[in-house]
Amino acid sequence: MKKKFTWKVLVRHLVLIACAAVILFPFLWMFFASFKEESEVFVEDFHLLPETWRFQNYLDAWNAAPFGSFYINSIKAALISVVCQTCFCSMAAYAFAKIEFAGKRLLFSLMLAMMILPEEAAIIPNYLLAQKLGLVNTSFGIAMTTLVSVFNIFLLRQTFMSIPNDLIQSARLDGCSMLQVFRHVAVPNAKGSMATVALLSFLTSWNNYMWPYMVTDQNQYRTLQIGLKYLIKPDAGPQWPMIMAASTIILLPVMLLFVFLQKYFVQGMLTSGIK
Amino acid sequence: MKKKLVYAAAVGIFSSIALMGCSSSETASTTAATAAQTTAGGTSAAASSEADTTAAEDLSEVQPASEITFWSTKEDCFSELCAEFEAETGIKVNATYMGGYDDMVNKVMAGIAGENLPNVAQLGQRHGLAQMYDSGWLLPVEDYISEDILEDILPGFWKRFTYKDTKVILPFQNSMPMLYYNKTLFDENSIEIPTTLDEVAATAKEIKDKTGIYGVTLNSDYPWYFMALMYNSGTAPLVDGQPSMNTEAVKNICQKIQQLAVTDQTMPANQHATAQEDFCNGNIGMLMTSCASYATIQNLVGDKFEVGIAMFPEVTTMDITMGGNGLGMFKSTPEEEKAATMFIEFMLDPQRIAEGSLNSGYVAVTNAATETETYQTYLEDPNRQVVDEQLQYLGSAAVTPVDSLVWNEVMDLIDSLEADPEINIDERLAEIDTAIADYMSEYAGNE
Amino acid sequence: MKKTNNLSAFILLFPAFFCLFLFNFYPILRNFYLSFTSWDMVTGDPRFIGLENYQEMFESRDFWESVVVTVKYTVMYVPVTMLGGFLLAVLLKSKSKLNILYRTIFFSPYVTSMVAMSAVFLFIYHPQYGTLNTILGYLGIEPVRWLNTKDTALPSLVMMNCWKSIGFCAVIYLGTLLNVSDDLKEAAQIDGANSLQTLLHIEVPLVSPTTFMLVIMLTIECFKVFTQINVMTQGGPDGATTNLLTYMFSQAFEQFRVGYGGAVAIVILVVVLVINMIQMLFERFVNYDI
Repeated sequence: MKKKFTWKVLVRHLVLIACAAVILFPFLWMFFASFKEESEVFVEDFHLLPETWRFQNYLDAWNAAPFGSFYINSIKAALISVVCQTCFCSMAAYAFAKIEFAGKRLLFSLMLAMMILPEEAAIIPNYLLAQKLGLVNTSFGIAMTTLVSVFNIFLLRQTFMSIPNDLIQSARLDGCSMLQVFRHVAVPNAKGSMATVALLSFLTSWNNYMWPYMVTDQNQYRTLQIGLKYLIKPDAGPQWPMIMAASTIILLPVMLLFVFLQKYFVQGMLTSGIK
Repeated sequence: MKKKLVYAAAVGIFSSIALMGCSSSETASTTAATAAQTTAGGTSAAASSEADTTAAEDLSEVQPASEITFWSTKEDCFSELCAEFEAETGIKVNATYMGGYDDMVNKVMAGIAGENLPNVAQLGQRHGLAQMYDSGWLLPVEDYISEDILEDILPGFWKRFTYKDTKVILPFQNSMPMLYYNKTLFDENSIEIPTTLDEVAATAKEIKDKTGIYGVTLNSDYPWYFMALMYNSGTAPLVDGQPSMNTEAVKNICQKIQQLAVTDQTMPANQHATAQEDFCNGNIGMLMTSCASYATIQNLVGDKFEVGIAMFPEVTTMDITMGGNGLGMFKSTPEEEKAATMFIEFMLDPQRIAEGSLNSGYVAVTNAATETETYQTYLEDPNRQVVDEQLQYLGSAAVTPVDSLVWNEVMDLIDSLEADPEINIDERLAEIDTAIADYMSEYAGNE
Repeated sequence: MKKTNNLSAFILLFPAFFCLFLFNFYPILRNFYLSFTSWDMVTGDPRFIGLENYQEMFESRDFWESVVVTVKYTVMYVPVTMLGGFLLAVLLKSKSKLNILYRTIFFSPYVTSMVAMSAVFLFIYHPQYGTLNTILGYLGIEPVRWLNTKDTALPSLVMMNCWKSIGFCAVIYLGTLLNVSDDLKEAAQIDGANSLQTLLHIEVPLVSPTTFMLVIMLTIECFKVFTQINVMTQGGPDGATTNLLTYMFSQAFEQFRVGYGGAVAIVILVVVLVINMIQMLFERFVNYDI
């Protein structure tokens, strides 16, 4: 079918371009502001591009706080979170999807209810627990609240539900136990969703601020988001170009990861066919 | 909806089980003898009993621990001074930046609940100190720090840091509210420096009329300036243990704020978060902020204009409130307490205090510091002379358990005054008084 | 067979539920217990005061204001984000390379951290130097004091959150839209329906499961908004951006009233549950067959 050039197509593209511009604008602004002089930022005229490119801002930002260790800590916590979430969530999701067991409905509703609780409301009990378990100032302590996500369980449940029962039946007939079916049939057939869950949990852990702040009190254990927050509100007056540089440093890996893996990401959201 | 009913039943069952188990766990210790937890290296020795006056003498026989933890509100955590201390005494200081005063209070309170505290912390005078002391974990400095230093502290500072007749925190980096102004602007337009609150309002208007820019604003910690104006009116949030926000004096201040923000529009309403930047960019003529920000403001202003400092406006008297932070010691082992004491005394060395003042704007807290040569250099700047002059009026009220409540209430009050022209001031102030009274009656630390 | 089922299920469910119970459910119970006490976490033990916290809450003007703020936020955020997402998805339906680029761009705000974007938007919204006002200035419009006036602060925060999530909704809708069978659409077109009618009468009903799920998800999200407020407005000006969670947090941690904070937390939970239950009632409008 030949692609017709009609007004409709033109308008459609114009609208999409306009939306894309609006969506991209804050990123672009942040990126360019990170190279500006402080005085340039506080000017009332609008110019996007800096007059002088100050790479110094990035050095300042990096040195303003131990971003090197922050990076490592963020990565460590994120990895723990990713591993735990892909395992625990897929296991639970499979049980809900394909197994009939006592109390299924009750547990399902319970799970729904627990999705509601905001993390901040649980901070003190969680902190005291972390304290008791000796998890304060540890990577595991930071990852503690992001080991499981109800949303991810739902996602995987959808995917597992769409695996044809015949496959499972035949595996069972071949003598596999439920657990083996899970490992050898279900998981390989849900690679896309597992990747999505891995990415989503990485994101949640990377972007987490409040809990890591509570559970660490020494700089060598802190994460990137805490470092950035401290830059925003120092008593000496925030230095915006440096903050923009720090934000860029923090966002860059995630954005790059996203761009390269966006196929999985977006595909995963698309095909999970949330019903 | 059977699902939901079953769920509700499950919650019911679980909660009753939990209620039975929960009640005794995780309570913070009171001043009773408890085995103190330690955070840095040291051994967890058996209880140091209630802090009594013989403690200071006990420590003289004790060997200091080899490591202590220090929580700071300064970004670089005084790393140079910590290194010097280690070189001199061999005691390692593990210093961590905790954010600003509010963040520090959060962390310390969580630390008390979780029994995970540092040895020394920089505690803002703003709020939380009464609770920390009543929890039993904050040690009164008068029992540990040497007499020399205690007596050398300028008396005005103790007014704030004395609670239940005990000196609980050692003044360290302290400040006073001042009135900064754009000297270049004032000179160019022949504007006179205001000395009273009424004059400030008039000057603000003059600035607006003559130059079109905003006249005045309060920095982002605006409740502090409100309270400063209260003290200068001869009143305080608590007078003789009674809430006294609902008074003519306070009402007068409220009305002035309304005049500035709403009627005259010489103060940008609800824009205090960027107050310092706005002033430094020449968009506001006067700024009420701390003398401690002097160095920072000079940096931010650069060449744009000349910065002037004037004394904080009087209302009916001069009773200047104190700001900044002090050093507090927390309960741990005798060895660590000894090391902590040594560290604090090290930081209070006159030369170091003087240099600290020079590099920022904090005032020198001890007489010895004011007598150093460094301090004389400090005084060469006419603006700093004004700060020094205001020191004689240092006063303010002692810390109380309602500090936090009052801070938050005043913040909301000012927000409302600026945002809502219809606000009923009397009603609002009466509500604050009731809230204060309720809190005091409930407060466990009074028992 | 049933026995093996239960055992396998138990093994599979155990890790996830163990974590959820420990870090999610137990705190709920703890908050429930604390809600009947008065305690500041540091002095003394929790003191039992019965229903006083709840009483105080229901009589508190600040509490009800925070409820209103939360409701306003939800009412502004959910429809706009969903509608915007749906429209974008409609525009992106074909599988061209350009569309993939658009998709990536639209989804990208979702992966950013709230802390970082709050910093950027704090600046974009600045009354004097902010980009938004500068652009308005070029158009001859008076500057708006976005985060500094009671009326504009909350919508400004909502706008920012919409920016962040609209792509997410678009992608989710796209997934379902792509699954809508072409036969149905062609049949409608043969019957004489134009694109708009096809859209309204075929596609909208068929994506209703997604709509249903998104409404629930986004509503829950509205009750969890915290970091954005904490970094950008701290609940100001004058409580205009203090939602239930921010109110709870300031009571529990800034005023040291952990018991009262616990009561507010329980109320948040109950409210969301109730809203969810009401939303479930609308499930009968959802069309599950494609």
